[in-house]
Amino acid sequence: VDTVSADAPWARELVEAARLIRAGDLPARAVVEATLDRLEAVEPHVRAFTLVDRDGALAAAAELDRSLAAGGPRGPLHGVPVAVKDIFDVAGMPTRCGSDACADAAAADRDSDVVGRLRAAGAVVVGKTATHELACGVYTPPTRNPWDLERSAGGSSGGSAAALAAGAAMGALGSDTGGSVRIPAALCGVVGIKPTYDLVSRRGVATLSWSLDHVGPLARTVADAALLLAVMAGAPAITEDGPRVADGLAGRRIGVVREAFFDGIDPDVVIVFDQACALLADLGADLIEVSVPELAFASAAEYAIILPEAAAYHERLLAERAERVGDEVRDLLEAGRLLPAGAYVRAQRTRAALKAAFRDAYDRADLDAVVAPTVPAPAQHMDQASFWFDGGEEAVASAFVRTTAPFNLTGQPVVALPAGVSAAGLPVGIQLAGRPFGEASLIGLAGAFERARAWVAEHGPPRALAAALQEAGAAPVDSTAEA
Amino acid sequence: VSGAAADAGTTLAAVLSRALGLPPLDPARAARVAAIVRAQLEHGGGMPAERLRDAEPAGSFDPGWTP
Repeated sequence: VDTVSADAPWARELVEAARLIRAGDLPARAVVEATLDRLEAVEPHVRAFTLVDRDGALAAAAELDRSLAAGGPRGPLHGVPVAVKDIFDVAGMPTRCGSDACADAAAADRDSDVVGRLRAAGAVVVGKTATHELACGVYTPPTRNPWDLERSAGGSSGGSAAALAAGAAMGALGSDTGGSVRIPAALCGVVGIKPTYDLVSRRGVATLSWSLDHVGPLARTVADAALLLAVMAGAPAITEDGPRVADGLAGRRIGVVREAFFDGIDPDVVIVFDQACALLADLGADLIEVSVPELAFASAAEYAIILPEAAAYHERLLAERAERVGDEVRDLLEAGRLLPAGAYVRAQRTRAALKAAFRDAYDRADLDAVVAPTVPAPAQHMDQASFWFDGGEEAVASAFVRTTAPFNLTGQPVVALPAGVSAAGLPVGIQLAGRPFGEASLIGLAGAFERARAWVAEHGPPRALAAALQEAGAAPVDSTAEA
Repeated sequence: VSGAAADAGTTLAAVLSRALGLPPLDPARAARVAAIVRAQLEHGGGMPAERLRDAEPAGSFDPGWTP
């Protein structure tokens, strides 16, 4: 059913497309136009976007082609089409945060810092992507998962992940407060990076929790996400051709933590995780079991921080337009207003203890990284409220946050990447968590795993979407000729 | 929550909202919000006090751990 040519401009890897554009071998306009055509073909099925700026994107691409001929590339992302989660300000576009309470928002008069950096490096914004309301949830309706259109793309950055998996952008922006970059990345089979806390500016990005929010990139490969991150962080460590990836992982020490991550887990996820660990070992890494008992308290601390901080940030919205916030999110915000200060302080103390515990675990075992399942189950159905693990029921959001939020609390950098598929053919991912500000080392490690796993070549693009397109009568999309 | 606990939680949510000068919550929402607050209070925000003797609250703008 897969009718996609890897040479189609929209299907190329970001790093490769950017290299061809900078060299003058592929016009930016051809890449952006092919991506917009693909976006328009898949959008009725995936519904990843809240706003598409076709005219603006094509005009920007044409200008980039002119400026390349006149004076060279603007930056490493010259002509690369990107999608922006609709909690980031983009000049000239409203920031609606997936909420009816923000439906009347005026157009932003300036870019958020990170969008400004992407554009200064030559990126072209094709549109804004759906978010779970106020970036507070793991479903992102109405967005569908390209791997199974009856299932969720995850959240809260679900639109960004689904857009990438569907080929409607080469890179995308997300935010991660309790897993909102990594959860949709895992469910949609793409790569997401949650950098070290505060490495990337949050200015111009709607807040959920000041002390837990992280801004991060999503892309289809580790190298693509790494290049986006380098631009977003203003870090020169990564070259325009992507990060340095070692041939092997000899001497690298990777911890496996059993607490929390395996307290309830789908058997298919365990199989993929064990295979991933075996591959890391085959590449030469030493896998070391480590224990962090404090993880048992991470979810409690996460919620006791998010809820009051979110309620405080949205105080005015609640006072003026509470009735326009959906029940699920409004209930959480109302609860955040009522939680006692003591719970918040205890949560921040627990957070300090968890950080110290992880630091000690890394130091004791001399670890480069910790590997864990990104989430304990593949994508949930759109109306599925809970999972059943070993006979016990757990709410979907609680299950996902249990495995992702610990690293929001510690502030460590994490790369979430695909590792395999479930028996039903749904993506399953792993996450690699490094030491603070150790992004370059972590990305090299993740890149080595990705290259050995060859997941993209084996599994992409999603067949469910290809089948839907074929059923809808869409012609095979191969825009090679446009290049 | 159910029964007397639900009633107490709902009343608590309503009383707290009123005391804080917030708009009144309808009974169904008050019950849902009370359930969330009760669950959070049961977890207490994280680790028990005896395990937190030396832990100061994490600083929001300091990862507290450098390579």
